[in-house]
Amino acid sequence: MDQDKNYLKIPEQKINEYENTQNLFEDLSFFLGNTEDFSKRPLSYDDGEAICMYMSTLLDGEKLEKSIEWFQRSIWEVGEITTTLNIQSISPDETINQVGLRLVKGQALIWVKKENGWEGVSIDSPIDHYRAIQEPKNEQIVRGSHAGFNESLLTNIHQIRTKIRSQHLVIRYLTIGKEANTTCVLIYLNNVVNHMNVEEYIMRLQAVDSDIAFSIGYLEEFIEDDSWSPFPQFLNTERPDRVVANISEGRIAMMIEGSPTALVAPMNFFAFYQSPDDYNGRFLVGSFYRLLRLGSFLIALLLPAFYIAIISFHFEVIPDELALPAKRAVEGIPYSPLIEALILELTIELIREAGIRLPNPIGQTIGIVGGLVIGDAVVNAGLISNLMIIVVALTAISSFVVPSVEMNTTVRILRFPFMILASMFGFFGIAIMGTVLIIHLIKLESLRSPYLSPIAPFHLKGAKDMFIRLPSYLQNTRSADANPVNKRRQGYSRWWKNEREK
Amino acid sequence: MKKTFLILLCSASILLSSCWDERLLKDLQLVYTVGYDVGENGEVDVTSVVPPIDPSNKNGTATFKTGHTLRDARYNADLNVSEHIDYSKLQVMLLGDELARQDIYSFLDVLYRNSRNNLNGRVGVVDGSASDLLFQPVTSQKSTSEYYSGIIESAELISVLPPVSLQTACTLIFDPGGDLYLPYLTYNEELQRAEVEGLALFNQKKFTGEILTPQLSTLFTLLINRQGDIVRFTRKYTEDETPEIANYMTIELHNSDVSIKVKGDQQLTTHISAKILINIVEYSPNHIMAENKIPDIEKWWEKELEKDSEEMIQIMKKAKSDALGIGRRVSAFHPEQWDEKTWKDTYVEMPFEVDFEVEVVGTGIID
Amino acid sequence: MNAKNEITGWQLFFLIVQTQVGVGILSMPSDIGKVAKQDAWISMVLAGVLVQIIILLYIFLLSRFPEDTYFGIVNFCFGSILGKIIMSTYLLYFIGVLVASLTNFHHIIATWIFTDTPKWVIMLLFSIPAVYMARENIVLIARFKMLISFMLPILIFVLGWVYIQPQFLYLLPIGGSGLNAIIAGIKPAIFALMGFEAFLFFAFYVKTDRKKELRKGALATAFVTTFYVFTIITTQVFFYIKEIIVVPYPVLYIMKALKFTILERIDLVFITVWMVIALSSFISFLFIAGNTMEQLLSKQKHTKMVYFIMVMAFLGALIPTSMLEMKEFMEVLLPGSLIFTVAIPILTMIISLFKKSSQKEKSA
Repeated sequence: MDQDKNYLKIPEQKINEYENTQNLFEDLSFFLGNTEDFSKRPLSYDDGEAICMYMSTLLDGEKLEKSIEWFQRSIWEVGEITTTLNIQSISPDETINQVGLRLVKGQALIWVKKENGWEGVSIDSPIDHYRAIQEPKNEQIVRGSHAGFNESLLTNIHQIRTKIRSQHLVIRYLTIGKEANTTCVLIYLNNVVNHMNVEEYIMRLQAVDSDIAFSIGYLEEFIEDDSWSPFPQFLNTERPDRVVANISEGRIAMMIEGSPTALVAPMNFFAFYQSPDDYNGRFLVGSFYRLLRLGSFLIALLLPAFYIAIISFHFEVIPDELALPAKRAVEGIPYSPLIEALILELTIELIREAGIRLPNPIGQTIGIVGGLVIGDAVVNAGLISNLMIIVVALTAISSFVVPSVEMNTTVRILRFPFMILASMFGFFGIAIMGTVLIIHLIKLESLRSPYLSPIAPFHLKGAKDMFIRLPSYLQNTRSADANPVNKRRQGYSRWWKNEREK
Repeated sequence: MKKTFLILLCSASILLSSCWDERLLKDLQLVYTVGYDVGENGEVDVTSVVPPIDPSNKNGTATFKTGHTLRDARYNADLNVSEHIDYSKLQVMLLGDELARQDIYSFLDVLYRNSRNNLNGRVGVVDGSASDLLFQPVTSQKSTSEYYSGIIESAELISVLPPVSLQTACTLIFDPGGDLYLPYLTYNEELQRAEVEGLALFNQKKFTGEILTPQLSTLFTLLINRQGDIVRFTRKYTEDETPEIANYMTIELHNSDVSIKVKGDQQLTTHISAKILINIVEYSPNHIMAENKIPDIEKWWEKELEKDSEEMIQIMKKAKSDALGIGRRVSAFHPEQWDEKTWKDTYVEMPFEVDFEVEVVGTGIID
Repeated sequence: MNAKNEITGWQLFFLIVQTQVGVGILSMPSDIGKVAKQDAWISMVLAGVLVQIIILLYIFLLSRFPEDTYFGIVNFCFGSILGKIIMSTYLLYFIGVLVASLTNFHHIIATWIFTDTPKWVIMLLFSIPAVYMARENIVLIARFKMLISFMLPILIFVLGWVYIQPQFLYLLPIGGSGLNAIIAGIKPAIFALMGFEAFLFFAFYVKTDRKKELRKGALATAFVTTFYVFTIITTQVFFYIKEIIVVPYPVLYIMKALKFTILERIDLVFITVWMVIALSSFISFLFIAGNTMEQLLSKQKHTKMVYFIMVMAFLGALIPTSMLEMKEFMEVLLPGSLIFTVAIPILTMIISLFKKSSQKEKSA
């Protein structure tokens, strides 16, 4: 054996240069840090030696066994390696580095040393220990598909592919994470999407210089336009139907292995307020609920601030009939309205946070105990006025109306600066904060598209599906914020209506 | 880094400083009703009525006498009231009779000058002293503080009073071509309640002492087109029916079209013509349609209303009060004859022609 | 979508509308009413026509030099030294305008809502969003203005309530205050319309289909004039003319007297909404001033200039303490503004006519 082996050169060594399987295995094992789940299985082979190497923790043993059996049989019966779906031949020109990556990604490798050189085969036999397809818990809908993504990238792409069976649907694989080598996939419609956006997205993903990419949320911060903004610029969703709808608008979805979430961009603010439910119900109902949701944004953001401003600065705006009840409600409350509101808001946030972590039945109990008992007791104790309870409760409910978890948290955080400014400068403070927020939203971009798209810059056509939802057959153009190449979505589908009248 | 520091410094300095203009609702004592009187030595007495905190306790109403001006009153009130007193939710301002005969604008001025005051509040003139009235017990479901705005508003609803808020009063005071009119309230000892007596007529900024009775003020409200939801007239139509109540007929206005025009070249004449559609709502002898009484009834009402209008105009001329705003029309359409200084003399001499046209459009669901 | 630093005709429209409409509208009916009495609206119409003519002159001037900014043209006509001097006077003028609008704004807030809050706090709060926006490029500012313009109809809507009980007789007799009064009223009316000079600076950014799109700028001033005439008429059918003269902010006063079922004292809510409009006008001037300084010093970015100018305007606004001092300042600034909006552009145009023709001769 070669005693002065240069260990530094191992990664660059090609398979061809090895003399026997034992050396190859040893070097690979060294390359993989002598990890103990790196296993080998010598195979019997007629004209040489063969070895199967794999990471035992990444493979389904039974499947592997079957594949090896198939491999051996094909060699006996046909005399050469037949490739199948999960058996692929690999070139012996690959370096240890490349081979090592294959192992880490979950392939089993069979290397055959023949007299005239090496021959290699990779076998895919992944473990399918994934969650079944379920409805995502935080994005439930009433009508429509109840499928959700799971942690398997393949299953997820499958779900999208089956919804858009088009030659234009493009899947693009990328690998992120210097250590983790996570597979990441971009999905878009080739004939609709703006390729500038695709390139931008790919460029940003490739620029990620992180060692691991363990989740979408982690990755999002690397690639979003403005991390300091409280607003989510990319849509996180676990619903295939939502992703498909967005892809057909010309947006790009990104998913990574092991995460049930798709990251969709470029988004605009109003798209966060769309829910698949809007399209499954009648359009009047859908429009109503969408307006309600947008209204809830304003309520959740401004109501407590507005109340504080009125109670501590501008009670003149309360109508005469209400002035006295309001006065009676706040009479004798020891704290200033801001403190009062903060106590309650924080209590509600506590209840919410506690409810998430606890198992379901206890979570509900906490909700009831927190909501009813604390609320009632706090009013009786005279700590907080009952008007404040109404305001805060309404705010809390409104903030949960948003069909996107990120936007929901955004709104809940954003109301605090409003409240503080309202307690200092009344309506004036709210207006200042509101203006700053509007300016911020105008500046904000999602994948270089304006975030407030249909209203700033203003497109009347884009507003068709933003504030209200017009009937599907009228939405003939795609929304402009993703800047799709192909703006026209469909023609007029109801020509028969005129025909019949004739 | 520097920028962040600067921003932090600025926000900290704002956050740490207190809130200068904070007025917490819980620390304020809202005054709903206030009364002005001429006190001794020409001083002004201000009486403020504060609603009770506890809604079940009507008599918890605090009434107190203070100060010379509204500002002064606020200052004095703070000396003897537990909370800071606030007039920004003022609903009614009552002026004592004697005070109203002086230039009332100087009393109202403070209300217009301070942005916090509510200009939707009502103003009224009180028979005698406002303070006496406000100290009177009132048998009502509402507390004293809300009671006075209540009676004025209900009188506006049945068109006995035209709505006059502090803001409209101000416009009328400034306008030389029209005069102010305000509700006139008295205290009824028997019922232990305040009562709307009618409409007090002003000449410029001063109360003339002349009052339009509710009957005439309803007509007045109709003529200046400020009527409320209901306009109702009741008159004795016949003399000989029994029981006595059968003699009376009540009508309600269905629709009206009033035009006041000033015509003529040298001698200006005011033409008031009104076309009103009425419903008969109460007339016990019945058979209105069957006996074809309608033309008679219409004629009779026309005459009755014209007679009342004449009476109303006479009272207004006597008071030198141009409440109908004739001067405004003269200055608009006959600017060459308009002279602000001599206008009131011209007005008194001015002939009026009143023409009513009444049409019965309904008799209710019985004939 | 939009290439950087290019705006459309409609964006120009809103930029100019939002520069013209500021806090001025709240006091404008009373300022003109003082002079022209019940015929204030006629003065406003005449002033609108005059401004329209000035805008047409601007269009004529700018379309002769489609590649140049206004200051580029000035430099071309007056030579670079005189041009720089003119630019610096413009810069001073803009800082003056900024100081004036800051003080005016503070005055409204101070008389209407915050009587005790120190001046610097209110102005600081006001300047934070102003700087935040003005340091961006023109496209974003144009988007902001368009978004904010949805608030303009609120004024029309609220004032519409006056027409439930209007007193149209107060407008009569038309022309009753006399020709002299009407003509004298044009002066405050033009001051109320100030801000149209922004056209000179914003028109540069309209690059495609320039001839046609610039007309939308003229449309903007026409729109503002109509809007103002409506406001004047509304205040006059609500107040008797003598009352308007006493009341400094008639528009707010009208709202004070209105009563809705959900809210009373609409003026308090409205003033906060209007603050955003005032801010928008302020942002325009801040941006223009920043750009002027950028061109004056031949720098690449206007961001730092905006900071500097904001600090200057802030300090400047702290100086006048009383109403009277403010009034004196306005009396200098307003007539001065005519030099910058009318005199210099016309002079530039005349010189450019000569220069261009002489250039043509040379090249020929």
